[in-house]
Amino acid sequence: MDLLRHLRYFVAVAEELHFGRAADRLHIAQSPLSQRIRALERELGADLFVRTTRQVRLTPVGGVLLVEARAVLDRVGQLDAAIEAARDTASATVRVGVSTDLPAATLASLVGVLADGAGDVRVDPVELAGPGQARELRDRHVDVGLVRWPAPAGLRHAAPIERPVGALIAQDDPLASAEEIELHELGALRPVVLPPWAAEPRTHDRTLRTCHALGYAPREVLTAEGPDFAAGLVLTRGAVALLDAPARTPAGTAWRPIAGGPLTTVAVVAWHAEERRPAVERVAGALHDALLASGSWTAGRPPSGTAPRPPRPADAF
Amino acid sequence: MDTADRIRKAFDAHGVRGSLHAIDLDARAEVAVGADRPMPLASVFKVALATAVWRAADRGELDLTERVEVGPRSGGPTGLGAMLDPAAVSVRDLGYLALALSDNGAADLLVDRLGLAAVQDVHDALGMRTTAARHACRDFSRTILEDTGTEDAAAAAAVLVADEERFRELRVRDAGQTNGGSARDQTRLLRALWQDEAAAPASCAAVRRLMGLQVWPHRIASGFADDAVLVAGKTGTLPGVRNEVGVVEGPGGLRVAIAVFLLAPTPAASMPHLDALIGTTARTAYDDLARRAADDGR
Repeated sequence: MDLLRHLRYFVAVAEELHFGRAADRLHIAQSPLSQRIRALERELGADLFVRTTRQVRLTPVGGVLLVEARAVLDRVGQLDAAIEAARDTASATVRVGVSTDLPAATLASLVGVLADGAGDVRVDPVELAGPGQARELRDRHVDVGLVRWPAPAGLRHAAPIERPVGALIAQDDPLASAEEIELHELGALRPVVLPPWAAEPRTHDRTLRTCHALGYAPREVLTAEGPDFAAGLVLTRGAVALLDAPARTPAGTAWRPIAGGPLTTVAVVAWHAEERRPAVERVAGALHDALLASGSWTAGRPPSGTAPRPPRPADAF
Repeated sequence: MDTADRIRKAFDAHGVRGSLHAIDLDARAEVAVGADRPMPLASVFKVALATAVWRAADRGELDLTERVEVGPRSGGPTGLGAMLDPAAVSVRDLGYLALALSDNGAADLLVDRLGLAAVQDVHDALGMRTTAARHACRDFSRTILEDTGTEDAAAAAAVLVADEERFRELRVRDAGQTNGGSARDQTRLLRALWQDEAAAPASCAAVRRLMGLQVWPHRIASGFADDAVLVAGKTGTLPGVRNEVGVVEGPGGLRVAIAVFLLAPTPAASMPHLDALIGTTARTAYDDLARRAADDGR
């Protein structure tokens, strides 16, 4: 028998001393209620109520059971509350993806910020290979991450932030002696290293368009997903990699801003669109603020000014 | 790794959502990757449109040699769509322009003549259950301008580059809101055309000829650099949509109907690597069916 349910029914009848009113309170019909009470009496081997045509009274055994039943039900209520509290704490552990775009050190500044706020939110860093976090966010392997703009469908995100794209060149390259790189000085023979088109089609296209517009028309386009492989291509192929400042400049290379800052990397702190835990949005907000406070990112806006030239002068698609 | 896995991997490596269906026209063998998923067809629907034209002629409802006055018409990058002055062209030559050059102006004159219901009749008659004709070519352009809030193609292209959300929600990229259908339905249509079942035999031959006259070599045909291989096809191209359906006839007599549909992650106008991807995946599927035909002693 479901003892808890029978005890709840018993307490209702004992408090109302009326089967009809107790049934109303429990939102059930009177007849199943009577059957449950009889089943409980059989189970315990004692009558709990004296039923007359005019009234219902508790027997002495019923009186004892009422005290004990209330105590049991109270404890069960506390059980639910304890589980609820435990669940809240668990959900306040927010997994944040750490990648080449988002170094773990940045997360350290989050810990203090979150400890000052309301509630008990714990940040759990998750190491990710490569710069991309979109897939991990979509598959919910991490709760909060930094993704390149535009954020893929299925994610919600904070306002865009940006930082300049610069040129990674060999340390002993004559161009490295200047503080800034002019794109037209790179020369068409120097291969360019970009993120693979399949990984970041818009960044890839936009960067190439801008290079062409500013007088650098590379004959060869190489691709690298992260700064370390890009550095390898720079050193072995005499290439230039166009990327934002790496957290740590790879050995033998130098990173220089591009004159006039024509290219930026735009990113957003993102989380899953179906996320319901307030802690996740709080961590995302704190991360957005921490990235701006770190000085390496500024408030940005989606890149727009680099519309392509229509390939054909057609008036329709 | 089997053929379908290799094709799936190639789609993933290029960052596209792809589907492919290939069948041996003289056997039951097939290669299928997402082949039942409805995809936006873009100009691929012109194959069913041409089939509808020749079926109407079969029924005596249309004279293929009747001259159509070409006045104001739908725009577009090729053929009558791009030409400026009045002309008079026969119904069947409109069919030529619509299939061989993907001429939107010519195609819409045919749609105006027949109605989209006649195109849907072809889908229904041939059991193309996932395929729907909802748009004429002018509706492709109209919905793109509406969806981007712009008034001309260049402004729309600029909005699509800048605004990912609008690009993603273009109706022409949603199989449920534009002319949409599965790759499997398209090979069904090609089989019917190549087996003289889509219309009268002479009419099927006429549509096959027009597909064989297609001028674009950059998609399916790019996978078959061999003069002994004939490719008859029809492309479909819109922002973020790269398609082709066609029949490849090999030197040994093998005939393979192939449909490849790609949803590209950007609205870029020039994506030669995706054109080539259609060629290489079509080739992968063709080679697999060729091996199986050889195993069967054909």
